Amino acid sequence: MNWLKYIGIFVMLLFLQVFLLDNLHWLGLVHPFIYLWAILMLPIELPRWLQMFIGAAIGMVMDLFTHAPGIHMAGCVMAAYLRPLMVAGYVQDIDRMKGAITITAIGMGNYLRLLAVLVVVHHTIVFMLEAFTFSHFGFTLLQIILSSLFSYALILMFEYLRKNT
Amino acid sequence: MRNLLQLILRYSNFLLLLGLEVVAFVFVLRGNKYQQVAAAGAANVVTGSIQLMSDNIASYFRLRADNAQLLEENARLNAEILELLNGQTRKRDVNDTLSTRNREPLSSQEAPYIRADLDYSFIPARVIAFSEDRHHNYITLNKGSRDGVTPDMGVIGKDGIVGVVQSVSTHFSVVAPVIHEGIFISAMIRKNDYMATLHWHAPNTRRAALEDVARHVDVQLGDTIVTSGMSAIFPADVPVGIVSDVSLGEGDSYYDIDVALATDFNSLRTVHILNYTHRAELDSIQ
Repeated sequence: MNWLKYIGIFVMLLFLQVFLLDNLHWLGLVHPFIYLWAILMLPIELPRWLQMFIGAAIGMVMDLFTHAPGIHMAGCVMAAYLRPLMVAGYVQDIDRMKGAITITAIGMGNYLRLLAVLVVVHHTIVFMLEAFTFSHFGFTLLQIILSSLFSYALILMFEYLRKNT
Repeated sequence: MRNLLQLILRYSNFLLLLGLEVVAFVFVLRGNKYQQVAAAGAANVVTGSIQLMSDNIASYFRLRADNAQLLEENARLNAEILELLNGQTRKRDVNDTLSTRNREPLSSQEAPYIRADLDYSFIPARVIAFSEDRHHNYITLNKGSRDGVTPDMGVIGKDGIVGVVQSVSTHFSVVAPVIHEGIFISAMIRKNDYMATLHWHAPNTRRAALEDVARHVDVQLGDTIVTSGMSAIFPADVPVGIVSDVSLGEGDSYYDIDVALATDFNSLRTVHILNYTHRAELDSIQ
């Protein structure tokens, strides 16, 4: 995948995130982060340090829109770090892989597992840092669970649409 | 030495992860510290413009509701003008020399609870983005330094207090609303002028807690809470909310008080930014 296409996808995800998902305020609980898909789409052959820096940059762009520096950056860096680690466990030789991590690339079951881990880890970091306290932990936990479910479903939907077009 | 180098190389990715996470954490700490939002200062121009665009589109879908609100406000203002005119003529009849200070009759038409003789000027602004599902919520307004907005100015809506301006760019400003866990509002119980602190906790955006009310104080359900006027940010008597729950444990020396907030942040569209006229003078002696 060339970079222009990748940036196009990222901008589209960002618009969807900022214009739509950030404005839904579902019950004050559900806040899905679909832009995480951009990290899954990063070319896997890039050096891992570069993947982490790109993850940090993606998170920082998100942070600009939420007026809370560092929060999404922390979540994205962790996701960008974990992704190649997990993919290496799914395929024979990660060094020979190229391009985005998709259902076609690593298989349905592996994709579901990878996505679940990345979404839950990312959302846990984001919502915990946002709350920055353990005093309302039940609420934060509920936020993490519900938002993760929605993000998971939305990203899967997008992945399906992408695969079939 | 060589071993150490090898070790570092081997774990370089993990060390980079730690480094980046520490950087992010420092950002979080700095940003949360009374939301100075260093990044937002520069980014306001970019993100603000995009949010403005988004709001311009969205406002078409709200026209009907906004119209109704405006009509209602109009009706109320007309009634007020009549009342004021009546009052003025009556006063003039009774005593011509009573009022020596020449003031405009109404300094803010959309904030009826503000008295005309206060030393505040008003900058009307529109809400172009807001959040209400976080611990540290924010409101973005379409007025910035070009319009005379500076940080630490108070913001009020038609129902009462809204928040405090945190950061400003040329065309936009970001407000930390009452529903922001870093914001403490100096408030008082209107009927006895008892001072207390209003502080909000997630998630309920319609309720906040009134803290520091000692057990000897008379406080009842339905009491009105207003600002105390103990800072230049807000004048006294701006509505904050109504006491909706009072409880006092056996050995407690302070009440647990819930306040139903006057402002509904979800339906907030237009606000006024308060500019205290003598702020420079006040700052120079305090």
